[in-house]
Amino acid sequence: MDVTVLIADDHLDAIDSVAAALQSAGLRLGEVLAATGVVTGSVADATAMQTLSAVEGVAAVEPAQEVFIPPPDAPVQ
Amino acid sequence: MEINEAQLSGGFTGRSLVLFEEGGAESGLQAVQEAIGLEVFTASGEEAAPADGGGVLFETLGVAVVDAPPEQVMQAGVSAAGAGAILAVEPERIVYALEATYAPPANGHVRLPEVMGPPMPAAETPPAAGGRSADYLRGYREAVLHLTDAAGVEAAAVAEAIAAAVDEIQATWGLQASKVANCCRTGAGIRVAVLDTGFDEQHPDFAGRTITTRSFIAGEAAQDGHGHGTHCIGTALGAKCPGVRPRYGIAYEAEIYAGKVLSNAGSGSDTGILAGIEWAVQNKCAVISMSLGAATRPGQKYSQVYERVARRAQEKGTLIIAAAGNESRRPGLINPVGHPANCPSIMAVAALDVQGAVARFSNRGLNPDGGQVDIAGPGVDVHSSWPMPTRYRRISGTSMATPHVSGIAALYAEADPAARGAALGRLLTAGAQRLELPSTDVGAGMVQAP
Repeated sequence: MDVTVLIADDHLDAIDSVAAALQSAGLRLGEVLAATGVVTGSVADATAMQTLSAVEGVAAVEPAQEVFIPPPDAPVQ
Repeated sequence: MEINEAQLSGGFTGRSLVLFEEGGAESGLQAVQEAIGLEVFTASGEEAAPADGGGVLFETLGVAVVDAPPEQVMQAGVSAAGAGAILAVEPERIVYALEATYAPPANGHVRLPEVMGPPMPAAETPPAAGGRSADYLRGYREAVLHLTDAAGVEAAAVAEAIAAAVDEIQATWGLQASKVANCCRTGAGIRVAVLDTGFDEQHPDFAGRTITTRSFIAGEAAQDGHGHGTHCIGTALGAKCPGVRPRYGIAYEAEIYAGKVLSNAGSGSDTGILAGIEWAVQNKCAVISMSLGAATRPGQKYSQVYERVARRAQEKGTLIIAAAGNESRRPGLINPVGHPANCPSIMAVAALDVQGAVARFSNRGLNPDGGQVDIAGPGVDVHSSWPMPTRYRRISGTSMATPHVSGIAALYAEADPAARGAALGRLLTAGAQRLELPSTDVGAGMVQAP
């Protein structure tokens, strides 16, 4: 499952090392978004998500939501 | 500008009161003077009555009294270059000192009870040096209050104004209702990111524009294979003079950042959207427009990730504006503002129709703690660009309301270089046209250009 990981304010400068720690904790790394302080990626299951949230410098871990818009011919979009 | 016809009969002096826009008295007055050949002097306070064939400007109030009937001033104002500075023209009323004992005035004018306030004790109205100046000025104060009240009534009647603005020959109803059509701002120097289905860079209405694109969808180029993104970019950033009328675009000189975070099939994920936000922040976009989202349930909390990202973006000068969502079917079914518009630091945009009513699909601020609607924009029957060869389409949605707010945000950002992030959002809500509708549905009201 895809996840988004929020890096704590006091670890923004160390986001790369937090990302590395997340990988060690089971994250398949997607992207490191340094300006906004987010690391994206995927994990095997919800238990793995719990593991990530215990990593130092992590403020929150959330499952990535899917968003949809209607097809092009829909009157309301 | 308006003239109240009913006021043109008795009880007036034959002179006109002219209300100028703030800071516009000089240019407006010059326009009137040139057009009707009158010399107007600035009130010194001692003698405030206009001399025959002239006028008086009350600089502090932004009001002039000119010795010409309202129709003449109105005509002059319409044709003159400074006409934009004139907000209203009204016939000057005959008013008298609000004294306990009434003495008929020497000039034979009759007293008009309907314009009188409560009598004031004579002790509070000492005669000014030179006779009538203080009373005369007090009368003008009453008249000015009446004028400014009239302007307020005009503002309150926005729903009627919107309903009347269905003539789309020159500009879409949305650009009229949001006052974009009369705004001189262009968005020049401002970067606006639209995170959507991409953009049709071949669209002829965008020839010569500065456009940066990026796809965050694996295996798909930034070219818009859906249409939604091109429509939203059209509203926020389309041309002032498109190939085919009407005008539908707002910040026509802003730089376009088209981030593709939704596939051609119309789906996307938080991971791509967050990457798009990062890209826009890194590129110093003042505004991110997101006509996308996922439905939320009543009681659902907002995303901590998006909320902190939006705050960090604001601190770096980027305001995120997102659609409130279309999951409602009013009046029977009303759903809460969707994700991620439900974050406190992301502006949630509701949709209004041409009558100024809430669109039947527009979501409501049902969830506490950030789930509110912040502002509303035109979102029903919105004409804008569509990938070629279709060129234009008319569709509805909070997705269409959102780029109205985003484009106008770019105008505010251009007007005030200090207005970025949260401050820019406050300007939008402070400038919105209040509506006689619940704030849970429309937030601060209909977005208005600066």
